[in-house]
Order: sequence, then structure tokens, then C-alpha cells
Amino acid sequence: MDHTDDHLALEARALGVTFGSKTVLRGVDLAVRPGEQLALVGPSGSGKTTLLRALGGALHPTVGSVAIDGRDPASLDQRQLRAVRRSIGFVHQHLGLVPLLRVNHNVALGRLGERSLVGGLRSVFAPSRSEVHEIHRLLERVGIEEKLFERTDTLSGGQQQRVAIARALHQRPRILLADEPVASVDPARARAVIDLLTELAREEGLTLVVSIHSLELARASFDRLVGLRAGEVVFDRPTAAVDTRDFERLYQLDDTELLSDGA
Amino acid sequence: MAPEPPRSEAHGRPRRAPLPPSSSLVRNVGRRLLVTVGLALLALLAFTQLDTPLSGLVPGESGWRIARAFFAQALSPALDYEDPSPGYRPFLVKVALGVWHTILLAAGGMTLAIAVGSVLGLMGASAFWEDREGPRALRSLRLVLFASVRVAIALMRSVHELLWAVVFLAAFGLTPFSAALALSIPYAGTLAKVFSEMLDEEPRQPALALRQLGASRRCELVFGLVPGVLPNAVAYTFYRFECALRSAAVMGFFGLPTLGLDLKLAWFDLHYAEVWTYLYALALMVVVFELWSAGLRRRFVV
Amino acid sequence: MSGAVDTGLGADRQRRIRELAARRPRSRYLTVSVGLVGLLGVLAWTTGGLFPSYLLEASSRQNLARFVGELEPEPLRGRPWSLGELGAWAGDVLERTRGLEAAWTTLHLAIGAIALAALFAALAAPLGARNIATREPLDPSRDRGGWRIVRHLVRGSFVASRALPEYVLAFLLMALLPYSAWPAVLALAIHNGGILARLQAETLENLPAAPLRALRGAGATRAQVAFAAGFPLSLGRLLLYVFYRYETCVREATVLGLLGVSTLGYVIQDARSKLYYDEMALLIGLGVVLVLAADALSYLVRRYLRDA
Repeated sequence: MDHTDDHLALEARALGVTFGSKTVLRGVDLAVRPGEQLALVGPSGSGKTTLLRALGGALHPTVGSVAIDGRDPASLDQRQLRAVRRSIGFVHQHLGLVPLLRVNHNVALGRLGERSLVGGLRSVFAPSRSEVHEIHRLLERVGIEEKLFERTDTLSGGQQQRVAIARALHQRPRILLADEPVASVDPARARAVIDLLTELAREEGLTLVVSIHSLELARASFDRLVGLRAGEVVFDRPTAAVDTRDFERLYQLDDTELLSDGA
Repeated sequence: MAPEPPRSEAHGRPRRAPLPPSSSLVRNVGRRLLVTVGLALLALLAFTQLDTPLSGLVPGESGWRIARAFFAQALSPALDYEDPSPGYRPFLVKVALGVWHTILLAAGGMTLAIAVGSVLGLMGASAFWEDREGPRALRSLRLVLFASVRVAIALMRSVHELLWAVVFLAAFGLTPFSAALALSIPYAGTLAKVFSEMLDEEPRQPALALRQLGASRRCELVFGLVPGVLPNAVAYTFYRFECALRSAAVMGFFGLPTLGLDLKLAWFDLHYAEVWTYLYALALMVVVFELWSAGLRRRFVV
Repeated sequence: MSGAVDTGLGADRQRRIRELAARRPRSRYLTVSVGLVGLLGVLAWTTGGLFPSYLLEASSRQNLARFVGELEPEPLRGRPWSLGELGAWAGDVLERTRGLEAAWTTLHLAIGAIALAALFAALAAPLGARNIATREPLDPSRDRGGWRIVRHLVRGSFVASRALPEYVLAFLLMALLPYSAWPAVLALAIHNGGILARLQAETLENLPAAPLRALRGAGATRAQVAFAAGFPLSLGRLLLYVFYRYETCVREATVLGLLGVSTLGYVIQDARSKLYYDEMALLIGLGVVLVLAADALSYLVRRYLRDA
């Protein structure tokens, strides 16, 4: 699919999400061009995960709309929605790997969206040689190729993180969304994981949106930062243009929030 | 959270489960005492209603005679016929055949039970029916289907395999097939119940992640939910296999060529040493399977 | 992707994948176990004479059809009937066959047996528990000698008592004891006693050591440790297990009637031997109600025990 310049990979328009009586996102506008890489930053509870899920078509916004490659998931039927989801690789914070399967199986499941039940079973029990090769190459790329046939739950948190990334890439998506991919990785490795994501996305020409709570990491690896706080976009500009006042606004607690936190 | 005993223990499959913290061990003391006293009173009441005079515990004259003759042989089980006739197959071969037919009947019943139980188990899990879209009529239909699966599971479980055997005996005679079918119905129900409980206790994140990458509902359940329960489900199925062996042996009392038939006939022939051989063979078979399934549990139950 | 382009690289990758595959962790135990059971299943259906080819014969199908026809209540057959009539028929059958009495006996038999089993478990389990039946209670390092042998014997007896089916136990006991409900009660109690005792022993072993140690340190005897501390601490679990097993006991008690005890199984068998299939079906239905009621009762009691 070719992307013209005015075509957007992801777009949120006046997006609002409410869970029960709790407003999680309010009036969010966001436009992401194909191939662009950006980081969502903000304190925990600021709505980063919800925004990513809405952008990925995993939840329907309460107000406003989302467009993925120009299509609003809310207006699609089940089959079309599945097709849209296939084009989006999602690295969840909880990874969402199947712990008792081997690593190669978990990665192969990345293509489950394009497979029938029988095709899926075949990819697990009798995988084609070329697919095993592809999986091996992907694992090599994320640095854990020797774990190809290990049971996934025997891997460390950081290694499982890489399996999840490999699975998302095996899916051959056009857009990659990663929710706090370094939350469970120790700080020394966090930089390596983020660099891996940005590098892979650049090589494959993917649109990349990552949510990170660490400002230094976001700043070092992304050209564009979007600051979220209490469900609203506080700033959205090139990293170079983000100044310390922006960050203060992002993390400074005002009195009312302190009160409601304490309650 | 309140300590829920693992479902497996419900059916006598012990497994080392962590105990709740001691604070909750001493909670509910009043309720426990009340239930204990209530159980004891009900039991006393039951014994006044039942035909259980204390004299019933003392064997009569013939009972003593049988008991003496029977227990005298306990440590010398027969290795050959007590009353050999020419042309019979060697006794130990007969015992082995009895064991083999018991195992085959159990296996036949279990294959049916596993097939039906897995399907019903999947359909009896609420995860199977949740988050499905469609018009209101379709959704109500699904609710009705879900409820009927649950009811079917309960009904299958509530009739004992020997009663099913009685029914099939009347319907088309007691053949190995009807015995296997009789065995499989309550076993399928029990497997389905336990499987669906396991599925519903399983974390949903892997399945939801697969849905997010575009997998169909069917694939989502099979690849996201089922693998997590497989080790426990396999271990539990082995435990049920062990129970099926006992049941298959008892089916012999109805005339099938399993250990129960040999045992019954030897008993009526007053060949007590042979009876002991069959009892030991039955117990040994069950214990071997128990050790086997215990090995599986030790290795795979998570 | 482009795997096929550079064959040299592809071959190298293939070699490395093979190496990884060769040393991947595998469980032979699981493979062999599942394979063996699968083999047994195949053998059962191919050599066990299970396949119901006789169902294809016309005579068997006629038998089956006749049986199904005779499930309909006899006085109502071949004419339209009302629910009232059905109810009247059911009431009549239950009175004539003493079905309700049999149901009552079934429930009592199950309660009596499970209570005896629980009593046995509470008394015998400490002898099989690794933290009490050692040379010095709560000191696993001194696990030698007589106590160890006692413990293994006791554990063995738990296993043995559950290895034999209730039905076989009842069959044997009936020949030894004069006619009463005792053989059935004892058979159920022995089998379930073995199960409960083993579970209770494991509960005791998993108890926190501190309270038991404290008691022992204060000079309590082995029996006092087991029954003054171990028993109350494990009572909750034991009761949960008792009510899990109660439902099974009701089912088994029903079936022991086939041996001549006056539970539901007896009246069911009686109806079958008289070829009154309609009555048999009604009585089996009564058994279903009984089991479902026992199931519900067990569930309610367990919830009552759990909720603070």
C-alpha cells in the first residue's frame, strides 16, 4: 500500500474515553504520519495505555474518533476490524505471550490473524521450514536466537520482552504500538530495547508509537514527543522543541490532584 | 481472597496446595464448629434411620466361617486354579487378560469421555461465550446455548456410570460398547466441568493479545487459552483414567469380561485364594496408574 | 522473505536450527505417557470389541426403538395425556416402589458414611503426616526408625483403601456381615476415609510450623500437638473436602442398591428386571434430583465455610 504525504497512519480526533464515571482521555487530537516514530510520555495513570489501545482499535472511544490508515475501526464489521488489527503490531506491557508454548510457537502466533484454525495448528505442530527460518532470523535480530525452542515461561523478563517484539514483527505489520515496553526491564537494558524497536521500525519502514514513563529514554531515542497528563495532551512537538517547562507541567501535581490522590 | 481448594481435590486428587496464611486458618471458627456439630448430629440421625444395628457389625456363624476361610488366604493368593480343569488357559494368563480387558474398557470409555468432555468443557467455559457481538436475538440464543451446555454437563454427571449401564443393559444389552458408553457419559461430564473451570481461571491476557493481532475467536481460544490449562488438564485426565479403571473393573459384575466378573465368579465358587489374586491385581493396577499420574502431576502441574 | 536467495546462508541457518532443535528441552515422560494412553485408546476401539457393529443390525435397532417407546409411562401410552395425569402416575409409582423411602435411605447412607470417613481421617491422618509422625515431631532431620515405618504403613493403607472400588468392598462385606445397611456404609466409609485421610495428612504437613512448635516447646505430647493444634487448624480444609466428597457419596450410595441395599439403585434395578422401563426412568430421574440437591447443599455449605 503506498502512502501519499497527506495520508496519515494514525489519527485521533477529539478523542475521549470514559470508563464508568472515570474520564481517562479527554479531547485528544493526534496525527501520526507513516513511518514516523513518536513517544507518549507522562506519569502513570495519564492515559497512555488507553490512548494506545484506542489507536490500535482495541477499544472504542466514548466520544471522538480514531482513524487507522484512514479507516475508523468503530465503523467496521468484525471481519474488517480483524484485517485492520492484522496491520498493527502491539507489544503489550504484560506481553500477552502464551507462557507454556515454546518461543518459536509464540512468534509464529504473530501470523495467527491471517490463519484459519487448521493453518494455526499446522504452524505450531508442523511449521514450514521457511517460517522457522524467518522466526530464527527475527530472534537473531532481537538477540535471543538460541532460545528458539525454549519454553517461553523459562525465559527472563527481558528475553520475553524480545519474544513479544519478534512476534509483533513476524506479523508483518505497518504500524507498531508498544505499551511501556521497558517497564519490566532493568534500566541498563531499557535503552537497548528502545533502540532495537526504533531501529527495527526504521528498517521495516513501520510507524512506531511507544509509551514510556522515562523522559531521558524518550528524549534520547525519539524525534517527537507527546506529553499526556490526566487524559489530556499537554504538549506535542519535536523533541528539540520540548523544554523543561513542558516536563514540569507534565509531572507537577496541583493541589486538587494531591487531594484526590490522598482520598 | 478466600482460599478455594483446587478443584482437583474435589475428586480426591490430592495435590500440595499452599495453605492460606494462619490468620485465615483461625477465621470462621464458629462456622466450622457449627458445621462439624451439624454434620455429627445429621450422621447420628442417619444411623437411627438406617438399618444399622450394632449387631450388624458382628458376622454371623456363616459370616465367621466365610471370613476365616477368606482371610486365611490373604497372604497366599492363588497362582494357579484352585480347582484346575484341563483345557483352561493358565490362571495367571486369565488374570492378565482380566486386567487387560479392564484397561481396554477404561481406555475405550475414556477416549469417548475425552472427546466429548473437551468440546463440552470448552463450550461450558464462560470465556467461550463472552465478548461476542451480534444482534440481540443471536446473543440471547447464545445465552440459552450456554445454559443448556451447563445443564447437560450437570445431568451427565449426576447419573452414575453403573446406572447408565443398567439403562443400556435394558436398551441394547450390555456389550463392551454400551459399557464404554455408560462409563464415558459421567466421565465426560466431570471432565467438561473441570476443564471449563480451569479455562475460566486462566489469565486472559494471552488470548486478548491474539485477538488484538487479528486472530479469529476460535484461534484466540485454542491458542491463547487452551495451552495454559493443558498440563493440569492432562494430569487430571490421568487421574480420571485411574477412576475409570475402578469403574471398568466393577462393570464386570454385570457380565463384562473385566476383573469384576472374574472376582465375582471366583467368590461364588468359594475360591478365596483366587479372589485375593484378583483383588491384588486390581489394587496393583490402580496403584501403578496412580503412581504414573502422580509422576505427571509432579512434573507438569503448575 | 528472501530466505531462498542465498542458499549458503540458508543451509547454515538450517544447521543451526537443527542444533537448537536437538537440544531443546523435551519431556519424554509426557510424550510416552500421552502416547501410551493414546495407544490404549486405539487398541480399545480396534481390538476391544467396542465398535457397535451390531447396532447396524435391524433387530438391535428394533430393540432400541421398543425400549425408547417403553420409556413413556405405561398407562398414558398411545393417547394424549395431561401433566396432571403424569403427576398422578409419578406419585403412584413412587408410592408403590417406595422410591421416596429409597431416596431417603440413600441420603442417610451417604451422610453416615462420610461422617465415619471424616472421623477416620481426623484420627488417622496424623499418623501419616510427615511433620507429626517422625521420631521427634516437627523435626524432619530426625526422620528415622519406627515412626518412619509406621508413617509409610499408614500412608500405604490410605492408598490401599482407596484403590478398591466401593462396589467391590460392599460386595465382599455383604457376604461376611449379616444383612443390614452396614456393608454399604462401611464400604463407602473405607473408600472415602482413605481419600480424606490422605488429603488431611497433606493439609497437616502444609500447616505453618510455628504454632505447632510453640505447643511442642511448651511440653505438649505428640497427640496434643496433633489434636489440640493440628486438628483445629486443619478442620476448615477437612470440612471442605468432606462436602466435596458428599456428592460423590450420594451417587455411590445410589449404586450400591444394585447389590441389594435398599437405596435407589435397588428400586431401579427392580423396575428394570420387571421390564418396567417407564418406572426405571422415573426413579433414575429421582436419583438425578437427589444428586443435584446434594451438589447444591455441598456448594452452599462450602461457601458458608469460606466466607467470613
